[in-house]
Amino acid sequence: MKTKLFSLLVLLSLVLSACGGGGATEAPAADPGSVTEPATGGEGGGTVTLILPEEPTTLNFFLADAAIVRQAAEATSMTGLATINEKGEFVPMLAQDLPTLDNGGLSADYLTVTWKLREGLKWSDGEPITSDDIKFTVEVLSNPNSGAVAGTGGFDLITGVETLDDLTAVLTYSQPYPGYIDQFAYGLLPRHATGAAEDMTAWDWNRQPVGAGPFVVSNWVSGESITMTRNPNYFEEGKPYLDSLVFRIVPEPAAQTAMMLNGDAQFHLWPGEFKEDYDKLLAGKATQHLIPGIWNMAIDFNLSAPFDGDPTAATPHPILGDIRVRQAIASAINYESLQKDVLRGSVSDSTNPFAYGWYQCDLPRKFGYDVEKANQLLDEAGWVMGDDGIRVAKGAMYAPDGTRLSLELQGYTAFDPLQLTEEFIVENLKAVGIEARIQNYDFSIIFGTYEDNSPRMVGDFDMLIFDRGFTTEPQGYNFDAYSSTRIPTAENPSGGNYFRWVNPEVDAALETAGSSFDQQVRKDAYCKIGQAVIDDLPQVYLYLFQDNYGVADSLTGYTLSTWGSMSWGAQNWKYK
Amino acid sequence: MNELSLGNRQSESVAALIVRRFFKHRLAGIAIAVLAVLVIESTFAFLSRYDPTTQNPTNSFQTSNAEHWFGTDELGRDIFTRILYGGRVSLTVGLLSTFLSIALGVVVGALSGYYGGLIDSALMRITDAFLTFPTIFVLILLGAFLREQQAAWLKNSVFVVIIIIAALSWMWPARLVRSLFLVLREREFITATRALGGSDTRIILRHILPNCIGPILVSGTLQMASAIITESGLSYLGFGVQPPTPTWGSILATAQNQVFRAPWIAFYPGLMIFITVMAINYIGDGLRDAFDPYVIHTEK
Repeated sequence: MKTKLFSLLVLLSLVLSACGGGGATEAPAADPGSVTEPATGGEGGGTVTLILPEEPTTLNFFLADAAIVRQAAEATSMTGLATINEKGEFVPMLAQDLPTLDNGGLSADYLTVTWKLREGLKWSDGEPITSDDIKFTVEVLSNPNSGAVAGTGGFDLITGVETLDDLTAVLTYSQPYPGYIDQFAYGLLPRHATGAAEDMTAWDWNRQPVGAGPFVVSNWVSGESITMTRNPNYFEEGKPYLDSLVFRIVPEPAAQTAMMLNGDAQFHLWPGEFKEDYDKLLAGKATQHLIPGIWNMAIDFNLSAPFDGDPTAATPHPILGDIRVRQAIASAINYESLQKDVLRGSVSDSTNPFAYGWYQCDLPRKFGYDVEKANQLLDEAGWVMGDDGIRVAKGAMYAPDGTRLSLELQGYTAFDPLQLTEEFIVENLKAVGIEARIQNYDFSIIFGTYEDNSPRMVGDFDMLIFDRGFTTEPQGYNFDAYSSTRIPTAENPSGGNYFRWVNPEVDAALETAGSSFDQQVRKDAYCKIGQAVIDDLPQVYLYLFQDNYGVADSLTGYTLSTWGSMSWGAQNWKYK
Repeated sequence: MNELSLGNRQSESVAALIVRRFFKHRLAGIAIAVLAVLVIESTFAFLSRYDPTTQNPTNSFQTSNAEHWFGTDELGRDIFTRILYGGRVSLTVGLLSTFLSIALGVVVGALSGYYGGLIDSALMRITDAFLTFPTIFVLILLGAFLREQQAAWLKNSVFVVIIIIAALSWMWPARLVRSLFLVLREREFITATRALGGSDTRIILRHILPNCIGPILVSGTLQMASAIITESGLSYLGFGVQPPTPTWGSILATAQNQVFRAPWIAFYPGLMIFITVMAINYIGDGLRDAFDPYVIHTEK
């Protein structure tokens, strides 16, 4: 009896000691300039296989039409003058130092920026990286006909680039631009290996970039895989350690997990299974890591009338034009159940666009889950309950009597969490007498252009649901989304103010945020905008995705960053 | 006592003969019963104590138990109820899209096969064109076109799916009917009818077409099976019936993410599709045996 008890205790202590926590980072964050590794490089060698759920259409980040582009491009073509580390700080990469007021890199009037490249830098094809490449990058990204859709913020403010010598470039701005470092954190373009700015969409470079990154594309089998081998000219001594990276394109979530299970892959982007299930299934082989993400899920309302051939804000939406209806919708959603039960804690709460980063605004919802309030608001707004459980207008602000409270909810297809969210919201809204009809479209339609008659661009929608995010320099995205000058119309086809929201206070705050170099001033301005979103409800924020990655336990040296993609820092990876 | 006991066979009508020969094929008989059960249970789905869309997120991923015979899904909805309602869409889409497809195919094939010449060439080239379209692109184009329309009835998802599947499958019945007509129009009884002054329409509708019913029906059953499977694939592209309306195919598609954690969510709709397709195929076998005058049954 005593021996049995003793052995049980031994077993128990063994089990308890085996339990441990997992962290989001493996090995300390590497400061690019200071890691010392043997000059032989490739210590450990080997190939890491990464799983992508879709195929990137290009490896040119500036032409990225989807987030997937960055996942692969960051290993090869996105090494620029600076990068953003996992703390959200800028660190110099190709540049010797970051230009600041202190070191004179940024002039006192904020209008002149001096960048100095490190010595001896080479592109992956052996050609030297010079200040002329900085000049070329500015030429391309400031050219409105280049076809660039990402990373162009503030380039139109650069009036001149002077190449003092091969390593030094002096940029002159027409007005102070706080994002002057962020502009160069997404890669440099080599003049000798690309082409004319207007032809950027047709460059061969887009498929096989000559870059300063740790890996170089050696083979791209369309629909199957992208293989990248070690860049011998990579500027950090001894890195990358791996011999090659293979990005496999595997759309089915179950097949992806099976690859991780079989050891056919070591890095899994956005696993479909929740962490508890994933870790159990892949115990000993791989672990799922969750880190704060930037993808913020919200419902966008169309404040103007849809399907009237008029994309402007002129006519209010018959149902959503009344703020009480929007408030009722916001009050009908059970946010906590959505985050905890439906999405099993893989998301965190988010109430406004600024839910992360240095500009994070912790603002409480004005209209939280309150079914009684929702019903009360709808009654006040002139919507009476109909026989089929759906309300009908009777004395409503804009809708003629007899109109059913029926709205279309558009989202994109083939994304499970989004579909679950939609179905949950439909039930929530049904409970207060609102009929929400889900109508999902392919990614290319939802995120299409004005010329394609994409619903959100031309204003032919009631409610849109999708996730959006921006990185450490928020001005470009937020100006495009919230400025009253950015409503998409025929004259302004690339505008981002889908909700057709006109708010002069927001316009003023955007002005302040875009011209000040004082981070606190900017943050206060952004929080003012966040509060306006909460008050005026052009959108209802639901939750913030945590970025999830499945990583094989045999891999080390990686750092998962909110601000980077899956292949950020791939130069530091190696096998144990 | 009859001297010449010719038995019952000679006084049977053609219809009765066909029915009897059908049920000689035992599996076909069972298959009809199974299909009837599926149709009945789908029609009476509203008798289930749960709604197909009522959620209970805290009660998700239950395995089969007394409360939920097939367990619950990721939002805590009763899977058994969703399977019942899902049958409505899947079986309706299967039936209606096949009818439409056959109707189109028969018209094209009959005209083509009977008149020949320029009409035949023109219609067959159109058929060939449809056959060469890559399915995915046709789906995307059709989806975009229909989406632009404002008419409310066009926005109804089930209707759209039926049209899309019919538009992509009418070519096979068309070819089949054309080949049948090419053969049958040369028969003596047709020449006789023409000599007696029968109009083209009369010949097509009253003389040739009735003789094609057998092969058309068989082809139809095969197509219905294929239609149900296509509907399953369409919803994954966002063309099918929109959530939260359940169809066997859409339940299967969303079950993919949970296949390691809750495999039963994929098992049940997969089972239903399997049973339905097998039943339809056996019915097709039975029909083929029943209609074909040249098949010799071996006695069991």
